[in-house]
Amino acid sequence: MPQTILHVDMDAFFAAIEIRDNPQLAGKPVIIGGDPNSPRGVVSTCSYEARKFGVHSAMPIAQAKKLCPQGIFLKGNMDKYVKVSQELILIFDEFSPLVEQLSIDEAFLDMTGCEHFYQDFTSMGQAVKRRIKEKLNLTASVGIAPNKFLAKLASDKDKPDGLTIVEDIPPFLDSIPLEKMWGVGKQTHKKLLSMGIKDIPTLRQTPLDILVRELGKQGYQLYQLSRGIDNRAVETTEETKSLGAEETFPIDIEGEAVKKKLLLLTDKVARRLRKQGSSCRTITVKMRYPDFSTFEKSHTLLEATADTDKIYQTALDLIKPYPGPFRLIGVYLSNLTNMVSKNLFEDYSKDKDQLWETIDKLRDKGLDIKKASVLKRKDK
Amino acid sequence: MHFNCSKDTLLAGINIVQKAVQTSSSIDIYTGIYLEATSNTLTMLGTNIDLSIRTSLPVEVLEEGKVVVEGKLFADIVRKWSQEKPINVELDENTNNIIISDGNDNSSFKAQIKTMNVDDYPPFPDPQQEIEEGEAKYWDIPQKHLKKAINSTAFSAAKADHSRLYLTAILLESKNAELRAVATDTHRLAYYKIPGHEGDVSAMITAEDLLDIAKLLDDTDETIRLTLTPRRAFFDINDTTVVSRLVEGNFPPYEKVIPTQHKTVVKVDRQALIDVVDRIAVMIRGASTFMVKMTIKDHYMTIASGELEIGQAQERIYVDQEGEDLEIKMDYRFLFEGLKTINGEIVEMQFNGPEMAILFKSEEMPGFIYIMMPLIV
Repeated sequence: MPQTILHVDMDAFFAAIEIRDNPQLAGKPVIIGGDPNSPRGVVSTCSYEARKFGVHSAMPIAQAKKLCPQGIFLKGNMDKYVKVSQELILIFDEFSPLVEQLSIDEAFLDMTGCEHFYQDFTSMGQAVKRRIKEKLNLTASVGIAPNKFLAKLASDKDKPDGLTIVEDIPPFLDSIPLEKMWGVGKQTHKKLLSMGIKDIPTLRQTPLDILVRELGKQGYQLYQLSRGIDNRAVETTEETKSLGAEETFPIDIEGEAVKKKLLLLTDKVARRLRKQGSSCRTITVKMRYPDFSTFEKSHTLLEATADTDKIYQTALDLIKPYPGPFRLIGVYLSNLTNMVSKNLFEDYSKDKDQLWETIDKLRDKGLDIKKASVLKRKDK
Repeated sequence: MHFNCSKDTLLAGINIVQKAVQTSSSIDIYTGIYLEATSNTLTMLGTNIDLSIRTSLPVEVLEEGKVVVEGKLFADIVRKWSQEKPINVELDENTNNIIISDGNDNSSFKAQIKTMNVDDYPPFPDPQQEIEEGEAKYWDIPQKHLKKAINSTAFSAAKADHSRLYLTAILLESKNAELRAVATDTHRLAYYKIPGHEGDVSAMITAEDLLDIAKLLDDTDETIRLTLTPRRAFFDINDTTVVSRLVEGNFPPYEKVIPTQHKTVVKVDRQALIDVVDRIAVMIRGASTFMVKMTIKDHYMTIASGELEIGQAQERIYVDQEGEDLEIKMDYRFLFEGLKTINGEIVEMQFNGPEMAILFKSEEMPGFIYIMMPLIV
């Protein structure tokens, strides 16, 4: 079934927000990132005016200063950007039930089946852009295409404030530089050049067996992408049939603080699990780093459990290899079942299950029962 | 130290002690195998906080002495050794390396391995030294009985339970002149008793250690000696001693939960039922639940999967039924493992309604009982 995928990429997101809130900055080279006096900071975003000087994101601040001494350097306000990002997601939700947020300032919207609400793809794209402009007074670049790969390339085609619709795939793809392709990093680009492949048309003419021989699985992927084929679905982060709790921290956390937060989140979600009379087998921990890169790790237990300790132990084992700091952590429980194996000894022993039942009951009566390990020293 | 032996001999020793040698530890010496050569015997030791193993092998000793070498490295070298060549191990007193070769002057393979300080190696536990803390108890058990007791019960112990370690153990005890072995994860219980065993002991030892011990046991009437101190169990099996730390805690009151009556009894062809469960399980693997529904009615037992996303399956089998009809839900893994462990052509299953324990027994395996709890919503 043909899909309609819309990719939204905000234009110079952090810089645009600063300019919006301080119009005096308009038209000036605004550079956001790190502490301008620290040698280690890097540029996280810069306005299009700054880009004219050769400044780009991930460049060391010191270098940006050399290239653009007249630039206006700002540390940025992450909390504010996150708030704007949340409002942005609400706008996307108006347009499609299937939204995949890729990062703080870009998302895929699966518009398949919504085409008839609009006169054509151009008015669909304009509607999204107009709504963002109205509500947030920011501009976005939009790409509309039959799949995620092409939609993302399309939104990048005509930045800023662009709108690109991909209907005729080969001519569109042929205008894209090879190194902009998904999966073509520095190493792969070098490898392709050494194989005599310098652009997408040449890539498309290269036989599949040669690509696979030279690049393995990625060769197959490039073969598909060079033909504009990409079957990835838009994936919403909300998993069905799962319970979860996550928290974004005002200050990034690491070490012992991670353990405490993890325990509090586990306790919260395990209590909800018990309340609905369920047990879970799969435990997922979500981690988000200060740079917004986010990933998840899961473990499936042999036996379903509703025991806070057991869930916490599993979650802790999952997060242990990652030192942080984190700006967000979350605990998700899935593979839920309401069938439990009875306890042979329930008449004879005060077992864990009953312990939690009792604790939950006391909490329902308003008693604040916490694990001692989450208390601060002064509370003890 | 200098000795000579065949690959098979040395490897057999390594395989016995290696379980107690850690592959990584913040304390280096715990990653070592201790080797001591005396009067044509090589004694090998592996030890860690929970488990210590000692074994002796007949080897040709050219010079007595002792060393500690990194266990995994030594084991891997021996494993890769070519079958035909003898292994010659010699300590170079100047470098404190051991030299492993085939003993020829023009030996084609030669490895030098650094040794660790022998004096750092922890002393092997000695029951005599622990007796001061309390009286040691001795129990002589025919090898085949202990082996059977371990292998029939270990599967019911919990695989891991940080807060209730006693659930990972098998309870070995003598009571009413019986040797008893019991394991439970609180959802099922395996209980095996063998009469004719006077004694006065009771010890919890992890199922994991006992399964390794069972591998050293033969199917003979020859006895092994179990020595219990307040903290440890010492198993003396032929030329090997295994010392396992006792698991602490109170074992659940297993005798009280064994059903004494029943409302429904079926006798069923064990292998046929195993095959049925195995076929139905194909549907369940990958599902979030392990539930199967068992229906007993008019001399037929039906095993059915739940209504799963991928579909549903069921199969019925003829059974010899006495008593009420019944519909009961259970974890198919508990059913499967119980049926696999019990011996005999025909297995008897006793029920007391959909929320009560199910008891399994077989005439061909007297003394064995398996109990499992049903699944309930």
